[in-house]
Amino acid sequence: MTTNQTQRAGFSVQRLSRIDSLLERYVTEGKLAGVLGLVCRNGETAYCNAFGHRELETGQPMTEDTIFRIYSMTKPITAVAALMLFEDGRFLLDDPVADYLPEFSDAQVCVGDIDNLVQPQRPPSVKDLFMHTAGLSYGWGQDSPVENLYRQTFGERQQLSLQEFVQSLAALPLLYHPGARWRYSYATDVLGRLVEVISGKSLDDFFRQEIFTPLAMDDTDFHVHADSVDRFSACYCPPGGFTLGSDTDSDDKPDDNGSAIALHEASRDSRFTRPPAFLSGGGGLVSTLGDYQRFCQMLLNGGALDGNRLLGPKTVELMRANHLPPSLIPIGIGDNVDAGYGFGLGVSVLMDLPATSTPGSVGNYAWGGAASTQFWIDPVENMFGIFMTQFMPAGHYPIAREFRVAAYQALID
Amino acid sequence: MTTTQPQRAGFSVHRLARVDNLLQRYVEGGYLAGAIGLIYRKGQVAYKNTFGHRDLEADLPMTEDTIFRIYSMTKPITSVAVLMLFEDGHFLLDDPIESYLPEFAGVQVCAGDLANLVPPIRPPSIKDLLMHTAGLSYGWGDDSPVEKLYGQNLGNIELLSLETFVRKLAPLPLLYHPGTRWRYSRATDVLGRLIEVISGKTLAEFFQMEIFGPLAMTDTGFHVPAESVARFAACYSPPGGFNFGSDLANRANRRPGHRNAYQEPAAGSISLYDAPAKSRYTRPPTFLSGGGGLVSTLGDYLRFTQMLLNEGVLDGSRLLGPKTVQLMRANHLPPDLVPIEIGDGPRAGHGFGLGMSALVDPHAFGFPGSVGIYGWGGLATTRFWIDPLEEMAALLMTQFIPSDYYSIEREFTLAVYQALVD
Repeated sequence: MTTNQTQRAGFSVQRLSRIDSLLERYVTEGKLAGVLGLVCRNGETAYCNAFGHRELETGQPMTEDTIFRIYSMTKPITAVAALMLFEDGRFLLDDPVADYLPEFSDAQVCVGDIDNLVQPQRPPSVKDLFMHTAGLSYGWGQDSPVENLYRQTFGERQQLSLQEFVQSLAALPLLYHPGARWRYSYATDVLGRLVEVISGKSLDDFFRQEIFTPLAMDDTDFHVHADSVDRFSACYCPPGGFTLGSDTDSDDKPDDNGSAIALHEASRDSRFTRPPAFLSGGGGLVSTLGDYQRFCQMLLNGGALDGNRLLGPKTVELMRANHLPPSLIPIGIGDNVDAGYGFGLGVSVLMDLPATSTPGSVGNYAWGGAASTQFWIDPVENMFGIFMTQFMPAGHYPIAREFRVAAYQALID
Repeated sequence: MTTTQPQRAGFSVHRLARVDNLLQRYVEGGYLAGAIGLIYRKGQVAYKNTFGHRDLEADLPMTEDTIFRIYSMTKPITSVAVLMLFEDGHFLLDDPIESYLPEFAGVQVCAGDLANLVPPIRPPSIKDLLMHTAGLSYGWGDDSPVEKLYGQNLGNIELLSLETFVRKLAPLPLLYHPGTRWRYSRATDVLGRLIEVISGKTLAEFFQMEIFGPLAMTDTGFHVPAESVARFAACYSPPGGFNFGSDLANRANRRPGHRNAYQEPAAGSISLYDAPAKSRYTRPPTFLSGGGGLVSTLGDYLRFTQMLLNEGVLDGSRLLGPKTVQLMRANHLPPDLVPIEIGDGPRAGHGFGLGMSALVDPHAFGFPGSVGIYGWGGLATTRFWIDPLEEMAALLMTQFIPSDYYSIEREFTLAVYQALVD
């Protein structure tokens, strides 16, 4: 177990093979169809490897150019888009959302009783949207009567335009007074609408013109283009399926066919093969490892990549700082507490390393997607890591954390 | 008292004489048979000196190659071994113990009354074992009815294999809900068994192959080989001997007076507790105690300490990555569990990391030092600590049970830091 080694970007090459062992194990045991891992440091790729299949049913291997549903890894991109408009002087972070989206003018708070709504102590701000402190939710929970209203209102969410969606959402009561809680929510979709209203462009146009083209993120969009569908991954789930927001227990019992996973969505049948009506800044994008790598590198560089500057370094510093008061740390989704993590402008922020029980650095910022994709950026070590697969729900396996352990144990200089 | 001086690794040579004075006082006053002190900084040994005898009865001098019972200084070694397996991807620190040691499935908590056990608020985790927050104890106390059960159920622990030990320990109720208290405990012995189960090797084999071999710790093991018994120190105790249960609370913090101003009886007096030739350490033990079973030398433990100070590597052999060492040496206890306490005594200013104390508040400690100092000691008054900020480490070795009978460990800390001038 003792390791002597050659190095790459300060990583022990011998120790990096433990990432291989980890990812290979998941694939060999049939827990995941295919995976892709990347670790970059000081501008170099220290580790990049693919395992298994992007689609078991068609026998296609996982490749570096595979296209993934990145779900909530869309959120940091939407946050960067909004911060670009902030830098352009279009709004201040503390401005009320209603200044730009007047449908939020009459927002009221449900403090338990749906028939006795109260005025918010302060109007929800644009910053609240970045931080999931606006009073919004996702409709996954049972702890507020408003959750039910979400489920009733957004059963057919995919058919709404972003404008219609935000209008419906604004009519629902807030779950808590703005700033009083952290609750994962549709806030980033509202932020997407804010980008549209302020820029006068659709969200997909803004993303393409202002972010994807400058960063050469050619495979990132709200749908998979016809000429790229053969690179699109299938998405898998536990044999019995899953429910968003419900308790995920890691019960990996094989189904009747002996398989630990079931097909959730084939590449060809996917709704991602068509341009969507609902341009979800909270979770609508597909992307590749290489594209998201460029996005991460831009952030790690302080806002610029290959001469294209999206944000100033001071804005990136503000984005990746924890903005939550101590009383709202750590963040948690449902019953899953992210011990040690606070939240910045669209990303989680590592505040308390021991509480995470995982090697890393204070100041790491990160997020993941519903199909078990994740990224984190470590400004202290000048590195970032990306893990891609397609398995829902996220958190079913502890692989995101295991991947971080494997990456950090290999860092030796 | 004013000192001007040549320096060695940032230490005033003149002021280092105060370390000599301290250790000499203990030996000449008859409080200790012998002692060794060592200070290491920035790749240099800044101080090393031996005093007195390793065996008074045989009139053998204390030497650098003397072999010591390091007792609980075994714990950091066991913790490093666990973290090596963690790095190799065998488990996550928050995993429940029962995932690997199913004996712990269904463990219950005694919240005061043995007749009314309750399920734990969460299952004890591997990290709880590293931190002594799992709900286990040593069976030395009398503040919980479970303490008695330890003695009753485990019996003579020396006769148990690690496997049997865990099978007897696991059914005992926890003394508190995991994570809600810090209590020094058999947890590190359980970790030893975890290493065996996960690695498929005995703890002795794992230590030898993965730690002692790579770090060239040639005199460290669970027993003293026949050819080395001549270098094995005798172990001493206060007159009348020492008894775990009753004497731990009776901590005296005795010390020889400075110069001629003796505050205590003019000279200390000590009794032989364990003679080298007859010691149980001369035979391979049945119970491979990851919590306290090793013997070692100053040089061997220095190499272990250097490996940690170097963030996981020594002479090209890497045991851990720097980020894991950084996680290991951080305080993991919440503020309400700081400072840690053993028996009656709080360790002012000290939190706890993954297998070692971590100094969070030097002012509360009341001694010079740095935030982030980590280390641990053994029952026979051996101690090491590492100061990452000053890039230094220090080791104190003697053989006198119990470790808090004298205040020499803290006096040694003071003597070391007052000599650091640059």
